[in-house]
Amino acid sequence: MTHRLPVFAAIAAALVLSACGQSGDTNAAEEGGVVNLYTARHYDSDLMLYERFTEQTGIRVNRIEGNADQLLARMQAEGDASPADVFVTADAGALWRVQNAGLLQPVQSETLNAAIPANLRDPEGRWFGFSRRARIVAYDQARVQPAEIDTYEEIASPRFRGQLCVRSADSVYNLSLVGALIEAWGPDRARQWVEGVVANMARPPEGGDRDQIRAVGAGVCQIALTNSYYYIRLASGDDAADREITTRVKLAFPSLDGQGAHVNISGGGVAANAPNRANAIRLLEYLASAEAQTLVSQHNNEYPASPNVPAPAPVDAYADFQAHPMPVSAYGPRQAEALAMMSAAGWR
Amino acid sequence: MAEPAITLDRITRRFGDRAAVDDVSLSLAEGRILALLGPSGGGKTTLLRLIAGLEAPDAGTLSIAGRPVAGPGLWMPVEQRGVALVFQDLALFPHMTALQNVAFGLKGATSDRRARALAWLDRVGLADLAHRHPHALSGGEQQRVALARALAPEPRVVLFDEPFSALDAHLRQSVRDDVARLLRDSGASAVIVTHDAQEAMGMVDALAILEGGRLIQMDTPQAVYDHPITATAARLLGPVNLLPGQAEGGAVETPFGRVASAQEGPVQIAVRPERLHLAQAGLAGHVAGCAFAGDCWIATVETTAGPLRVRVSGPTQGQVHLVAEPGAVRVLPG
Amino acid sequence: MALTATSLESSSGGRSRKRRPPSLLHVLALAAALIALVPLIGVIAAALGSTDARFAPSDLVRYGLTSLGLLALVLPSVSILGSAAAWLVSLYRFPGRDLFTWMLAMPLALPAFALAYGYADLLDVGGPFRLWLRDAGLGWSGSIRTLWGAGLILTLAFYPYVYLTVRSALTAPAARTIEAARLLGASPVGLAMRVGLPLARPAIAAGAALAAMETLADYGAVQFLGVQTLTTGVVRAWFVLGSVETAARLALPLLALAAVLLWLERQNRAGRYAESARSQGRRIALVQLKGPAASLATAFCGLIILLGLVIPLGWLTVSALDVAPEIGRIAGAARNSFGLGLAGAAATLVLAAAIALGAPRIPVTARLASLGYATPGAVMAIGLLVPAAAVWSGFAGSTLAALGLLVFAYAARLMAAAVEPLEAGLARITPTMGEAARLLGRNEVATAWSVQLPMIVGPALTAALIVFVDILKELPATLILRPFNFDTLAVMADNYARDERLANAGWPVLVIVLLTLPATWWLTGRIGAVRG
Repeated sequence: MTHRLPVFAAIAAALVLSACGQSGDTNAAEEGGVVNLYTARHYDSDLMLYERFTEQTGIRVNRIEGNADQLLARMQAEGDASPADVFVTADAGALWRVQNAGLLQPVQSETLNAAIPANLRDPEGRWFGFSRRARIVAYDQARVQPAEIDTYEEIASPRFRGQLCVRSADSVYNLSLVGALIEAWGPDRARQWVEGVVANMARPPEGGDRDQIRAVGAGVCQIALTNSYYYIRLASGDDAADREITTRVKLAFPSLDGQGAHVNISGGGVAANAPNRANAIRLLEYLASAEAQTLVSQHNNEYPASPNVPAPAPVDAYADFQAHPMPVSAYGPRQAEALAMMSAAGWR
Repeated sequence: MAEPAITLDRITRRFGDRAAVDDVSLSLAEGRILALLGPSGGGKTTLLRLIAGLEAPDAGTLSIAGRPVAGPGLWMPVEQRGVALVFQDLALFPHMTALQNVAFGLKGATSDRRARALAWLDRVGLADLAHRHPHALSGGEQQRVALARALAPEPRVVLFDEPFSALDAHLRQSVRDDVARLLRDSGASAVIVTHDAQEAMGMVDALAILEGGRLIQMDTPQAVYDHPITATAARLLGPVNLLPGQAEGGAVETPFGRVASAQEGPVQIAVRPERLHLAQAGLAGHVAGCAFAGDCWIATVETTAGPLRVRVSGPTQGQVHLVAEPGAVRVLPG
Repeated sequence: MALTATSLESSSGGRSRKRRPPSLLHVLALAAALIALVPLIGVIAAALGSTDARFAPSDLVRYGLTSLGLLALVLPSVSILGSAAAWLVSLYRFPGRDLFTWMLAMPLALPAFALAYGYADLLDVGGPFRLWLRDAGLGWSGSIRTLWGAGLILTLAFYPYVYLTVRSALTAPAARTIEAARLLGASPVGLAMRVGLPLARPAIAAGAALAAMETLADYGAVQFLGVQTLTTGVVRAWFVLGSVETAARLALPLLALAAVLLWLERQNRAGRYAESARSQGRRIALVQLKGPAASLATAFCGLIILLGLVIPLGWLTVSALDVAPEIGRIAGAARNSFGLGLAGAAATLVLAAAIALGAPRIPVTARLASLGYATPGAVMAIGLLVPAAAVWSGFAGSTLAALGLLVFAYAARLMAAAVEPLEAGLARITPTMGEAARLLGRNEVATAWSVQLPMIVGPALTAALIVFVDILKELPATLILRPFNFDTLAVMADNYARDERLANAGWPVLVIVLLTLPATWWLTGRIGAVRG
């Protein structure tokens, strides 16, 4: 019987080992202290950002990544004991849901208010957008003229019957776009647009944005809805085949009511029960800094939120567009309605 | 001091609507060996499992060494009863050697358990094979390991469930002798479930006949053999001639004369083949066949009362006359 | 002398149920089952909450039908592929057989989502393979992103469950029956159909039940393939509509389906057979296949491995080579995954052993404890938030407590994967073994420890491997419950995949496979060697 003991000992050791590997101190009073970050952003470049922050402030960043709504549920379950200081996610709708659940607190910071345009933050200071992505159109240069696709209406027009690639209605980016259209046009016109999109689909929604761009490249469809940074990444990435596609597939910035392209944000706010509130605000302020916005743009191909921060290469080549000034806080409350509308129209 | 080793007081065990053991009472004195006999499904194995503590009685009280262990509101777990059981399939632990199997039930320091287990293996003649696993042992060797394993903890009661059924004839004899010897040496009481009366009679102090879950007779082997109280009991213990009869006025007319009967109406008349003899006069019959049976011959005689088997000393044929020994003809319930 | 007897509750009218007093084992089994049930209770409690989230009924019907359709594709195909492959390598010798024996279990190490990424990327209309086909003048308009494609992917991902269970059923105890049938002149096909099938039926059912539950619970693969099942509805309800309650409610039909599957599997197991000491220690003598039969066998097994392992893994590797791996992060994540895998497998095995040993006493509870396996991880996470909240508030900031919570979550979620093989193993032990140990003075727990458990080492290793591999692939519970700064390989792979960086996702997936490879290799070797 004794020979089974070493096995258990080894397993116990493995558990302790993996526990010891972690520095789990969530509110240490060490020099500079810590800030606990719950983030739905999952980009490697963000890690570099946190390292730079620690270098500059001495504040260590503890992070948990996850789906925005799971993190939301976790914060709710943790309640008053939640160690979360900062919540960050990549969709305005998700920020609205967290705010709506009462999990964010208002922050008054001159730095933040100065760095972030008013339409990209919550009026009460519960969250701030740090980077932007535009939801726009990739088109087949050989078959589509840019002028044919310079408004959102045209995406749904009979001109592109059976010629549109688009991902599922579950994509928050699609939901926020339709939410914005409802906000701008009212439900009836938005519904017509959604129905037009469904009629234009070249195939049932499948894959991610990158797959839509590749489908245009493969001739499956003439146009595709995509986020800007996926295209920029294909155009500037390591994959030769992907780069080749972007020589034939180009990016168009349709305009909504002549006011510019639909943009969404990555942003964050201070958690309602933040144990390290001061550090949390410092992290937000760092994320709003020119340095951080430039880094994010450089590595993740998003657009800086601040008009005063120029887009670095390779994003700069695609940065010359007008963004719609609609407050992004309008998307969240419209998402459920948008989903119902899309479902009813058969947008899977 | 003279507490019985096992006492069953009106024990009943039901499976669904059927009573596998039905209101059985018996007791077994210390150091005695009891065989449970009966037709298949008669409740032998269930009774054994009740004593072991592998089943709980639905009614009645069971005591071991004078101590109640199961009854209304009372239950002593099997492992505390100090009862050993040798299973029909032996249930040797396949992942342990013979030595580990025998040492399994022993208590104390490892070296001490080992020494005692080895001594027991030696006692059953298997000291050389102590480190073999069961699958590397022959049937007889496995049987001996199982026996040593059961006896090693020195239980006061040892139970055997059809212990020799898987062995061939000559092995059976030697294992049975081992069992008898070891049981006598240990002074333990034993209950053996068997369907082989010949096997049991030589080594037990008492026989209990179970039929339909009920205990119909319990006595010494010879008493049960000579004075069975049912036809089943008579048949279980050995060859017997059974003839129909009718009791009237406290007696039955049999081919061998009038025999007193305790009951009235239809009865069975039983007489064992070895207690019938050829004679000059008596019940007349014709030998229909004669079969060699080792130390004797068994003749089948067609008589006016029906065919009767008779033990004879040599090949026999033709017309014969049969007589019965005095007291050999029994009247049994019909 | 005082009686050392415990009182016996005499419940009359207990019909044919064996009436014995409750024991420590009984209590342990119940406790283990309850641990597994906690998250499910949490899900049901959440489902009872009020919600105003609206869902189009037509969508729900479509999700349900898609789930059923997927099951209808995956169930028969995993059963046939898994058992045919196991039968071939267990009975016959043919070129490559020794290699196939363990390679066939390997796709277990590939997360279903990784298979989906690999194939979807490879076969995408804009992908290199299709472009090459087009350039070569070979038009093909099919797509892997269909119900059929998802059926194929999930079959390739989950057939090893059937393969492993059937393979452990076709060793020692089956040897005698199979040899007897051979002596009676059964043809190879007759042998398989008339002897092998009945012998392996409980094992096929057990493996297929696991595969079916995995299919129901899968989200990553079907989502990527654009096939919308009930789990899509769950995720949509939570992550899009923000309604935990609706998500939990949508999970109830999944639980019901899983319960039906488990019940069917029990029905199938009615013909269980017991194994005595005497039939142990034998192996099936392999028959040499010759000529076309040998080529067919090799081709069959080779094709499975090609489709299930070589192509997807190869493509991921080729893609991954385009980017440099971040050795440091991957090593850290690998250490975390490995430690959690070991600890989780150990905890799950201990609890599952208690449940399996006590299952005869708590039949219904034991079955319910397995339902977590069919529950999508996202739903499980809902239920886990309740116990998690207690841990978080009680041990705020404790990494060890957070890891303990994760281990608990794995155990609750993966209980079925361990209970099924263990119960199948226990069913092959004659009851007299345990009784003999009891009579020799061991109580129920000591008996389980010294007799029954050592005799199910083989099934226990199978169970441990499945749980270990499942933990390495596990995502939703890890995502939501992990402590700060804690990445696992699956989390890394998922991060990259969500970001549509397949090349980067390839590295952690490759490390998952590398970590699992030795265990799989060792285990499949043991299944052949271990008695019982």
